[in-house]
Amino acid sequence: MRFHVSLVAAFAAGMMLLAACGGSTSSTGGQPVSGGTLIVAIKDDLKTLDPAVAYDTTSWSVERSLFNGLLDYQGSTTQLVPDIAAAMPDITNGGKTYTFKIRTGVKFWNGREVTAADFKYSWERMLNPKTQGPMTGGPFWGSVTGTADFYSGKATGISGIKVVDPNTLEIDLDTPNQAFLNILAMPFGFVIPKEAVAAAGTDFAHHPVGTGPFILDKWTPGQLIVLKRNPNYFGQAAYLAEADFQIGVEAQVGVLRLENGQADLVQPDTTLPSAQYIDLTSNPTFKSRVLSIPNVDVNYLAMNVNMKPFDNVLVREAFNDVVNKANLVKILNGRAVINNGIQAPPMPGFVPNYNPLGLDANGQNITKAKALLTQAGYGPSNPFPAQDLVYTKANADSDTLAASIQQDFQKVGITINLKGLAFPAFLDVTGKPNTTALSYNGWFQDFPDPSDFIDPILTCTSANVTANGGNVAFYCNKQVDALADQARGDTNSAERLKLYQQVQDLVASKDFPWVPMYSTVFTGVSSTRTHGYALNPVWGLVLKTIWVTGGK
Amino acid sequence: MTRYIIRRLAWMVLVLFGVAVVTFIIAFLVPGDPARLYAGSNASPASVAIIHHQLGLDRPVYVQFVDYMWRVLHLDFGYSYRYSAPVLPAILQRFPATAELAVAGVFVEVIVGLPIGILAATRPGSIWDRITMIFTFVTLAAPPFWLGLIFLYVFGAVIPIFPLGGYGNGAPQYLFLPALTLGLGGAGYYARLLRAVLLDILPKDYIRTANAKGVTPGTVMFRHALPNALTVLITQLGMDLGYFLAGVVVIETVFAWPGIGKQAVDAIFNLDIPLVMGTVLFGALLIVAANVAVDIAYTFIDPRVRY
Repeated sequence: MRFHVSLVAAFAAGMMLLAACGGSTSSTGGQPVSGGTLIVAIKDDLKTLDPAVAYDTTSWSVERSLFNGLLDYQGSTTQLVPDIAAAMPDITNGGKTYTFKIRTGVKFWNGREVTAADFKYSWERMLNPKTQGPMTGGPFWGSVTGTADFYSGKATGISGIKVVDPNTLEIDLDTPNQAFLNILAMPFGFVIPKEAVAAAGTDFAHHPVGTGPFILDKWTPGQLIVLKRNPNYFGQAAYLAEADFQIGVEAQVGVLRLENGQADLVQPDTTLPSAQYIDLTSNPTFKSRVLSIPNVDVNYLAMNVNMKPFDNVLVREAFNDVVNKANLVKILNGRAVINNGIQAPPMPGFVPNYNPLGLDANGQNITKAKALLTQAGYGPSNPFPAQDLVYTKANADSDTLAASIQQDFQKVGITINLKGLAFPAFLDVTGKPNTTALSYNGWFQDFPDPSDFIDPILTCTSANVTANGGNVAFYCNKQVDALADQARGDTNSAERLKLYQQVQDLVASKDFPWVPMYSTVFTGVSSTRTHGYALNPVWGLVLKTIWVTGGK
Repeated sequence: MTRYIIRRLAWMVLVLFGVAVVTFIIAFLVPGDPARLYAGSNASPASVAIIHHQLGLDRPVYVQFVDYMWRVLHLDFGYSYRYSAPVLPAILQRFPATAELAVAGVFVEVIVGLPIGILAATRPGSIWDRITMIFTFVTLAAPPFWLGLIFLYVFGAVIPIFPLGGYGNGAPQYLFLPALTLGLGGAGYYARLLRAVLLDILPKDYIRTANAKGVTPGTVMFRHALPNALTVLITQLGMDLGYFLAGVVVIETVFAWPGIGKQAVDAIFNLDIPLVMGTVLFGALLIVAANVAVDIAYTFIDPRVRY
């Protein structure tokens, strides 16, 4: 389909970038072997295995092996392919109607065959406010016809989700959205059987039933999750007989277990902490088994455009010339790449080496920064006021990164006071208007499409909130909104990507609500008996391609 | 004694109510929206607002508190926001692991600390006294997190005689290192405490009389001196047991021990208020109960104590 042509080109560029970063798949080590148990050490217990509710990488990395949706991503790419759908959908009515044929022979673990009605049930349950899922009322599914009446209680179902026949599903949108297929591929789109939800009562989260290559055999909270191979899986059967997730294992202990043959994967849902990364890359046995892949994220300083002194575009532009981004990459042990834009490397539309301000190799232009500050009226007689940099202490490198930025601004005579906060407090103060002037943020994908890096965090709609906002710069440019609206519905993928690049140019070289800094590189490691382990830019962990040799 | 117990139980109820009020107030004063944490940091404000309403967080704080306390009186501690599971069963499911670790930790404190304290008290100023005091300083100063990682590295990886953390379905070899880490710090404290108490007791007239009558040193120590020292130790051990039963976060974290301490800390970081409240109330109940048990134990140890 034309929609995917330019995606293939972007995918090829992405794969070249992957090769530059190091391998993303483990050694194949010969032919796959059926059987064996994979031991995975993870730090945090899963929140839930209810696909309607889970919105974190840990839960998603396990859900991926238990459920299926209409679509999936191919291998380690961001290319969408059919999963339970028999083929990619027919898209008609100016991009507002999606018609899917459902494969026959796909069965839930309880033996019943999946039908189109199961998808309607699953999605209506997912969007029902009583389910308390994070998609309800949100923008991703908001364009599906009938959702507004459903949320308000005027309708008991969503009129835009139609069961044409047991194997045909039709979805109608109010406005076209070229990212809708990505939205369907999110775990919220996974299909579940109604009777299993009824049987589980309020505890489907711990007693899920899906269609996936693995079945949940046991979940002892805080201790262990055991998955067993589904013998009736409709697709290529998994190689592993079993996967055991050992819960509550700190990274240091996880690496000890890996090195002593007591674990095969360590924290595959989050990237390895710096200390453990250095430990493993210095270990001759494991150095070659450390994999890396560009993350679909951007990390940036946000300047609240409604608060002094950042209501002055000259100040915001000056701040874009100060941060030593190469230093930040060094602090992260090289597990990041400088990013001067708002798109993430593996996504369609990413422009490699994007540098609209002509910054040097460190990402700076100190001379220009000083000139801009002078032009803005700051100098010896009017010193730039000290600013608080609000950041979250959510990971081990946070303090060091913030301190590096503080030192950069000292060189242009700006005092930055560091305010590290716990994550809930950070979300609270940055999400409220007129509260935080300068903050250190990261945005991780919901799905690998440019719209996900604009609609929730750079549009006027996202700025117009009273709390819990994602647009922490409270940036609003109607031209950006118009371009984003146009791109969302543009069926010509090449034109669509050009529109998003125009948005990037407006943000990164004209309005400057952010100082874009870097995108991270996800790293993972496997034991010597593990094969077929590949890092995935969307899922984190895909069990069905993995096999183990020797041992348990 | 019966009246004493009834009086203490009445105080327990008041204490627990006070703990509930303070914890509830603190939970609501902490910045952050539990609904945002529940929904996920990428969730839209509209979705968070709906969840905020569904969780009942838009009700006035006093309404939420009264509703919560009314349900607690019926042993309904609510639902964990993060795990979508009832709070009390979630706590009770993890409590046996904490109880096992707590009892084992106190056991290590006693069997390591008491002999060292006796040795130091019976040879004051000697080389043994100095060695035991160095031991107590080291064990008191060593952070449990560090000590636990050292033990894991040495005895789990380099000389692999114990597992590298985990619970192992309650198998005893999994308990050894966490209990040792937990108990060693307290052992140092009890050694010093017992040494100080015994140095006060040993010169007393009744000890001198026993020695003069030809009673063996062991009998003097265990029949005459130690029982008089125990009242002080029992108070502290009871407090320790209650404290450990409420959860030992650092040990549980290092050793991946699935207890209620780590569960409580995770609940705090996720603003899972029902789970925080439930764990705090449960822990407070255990600490207060431990206090009452200690007071009752006095009457058996020292016949002079009567309530």
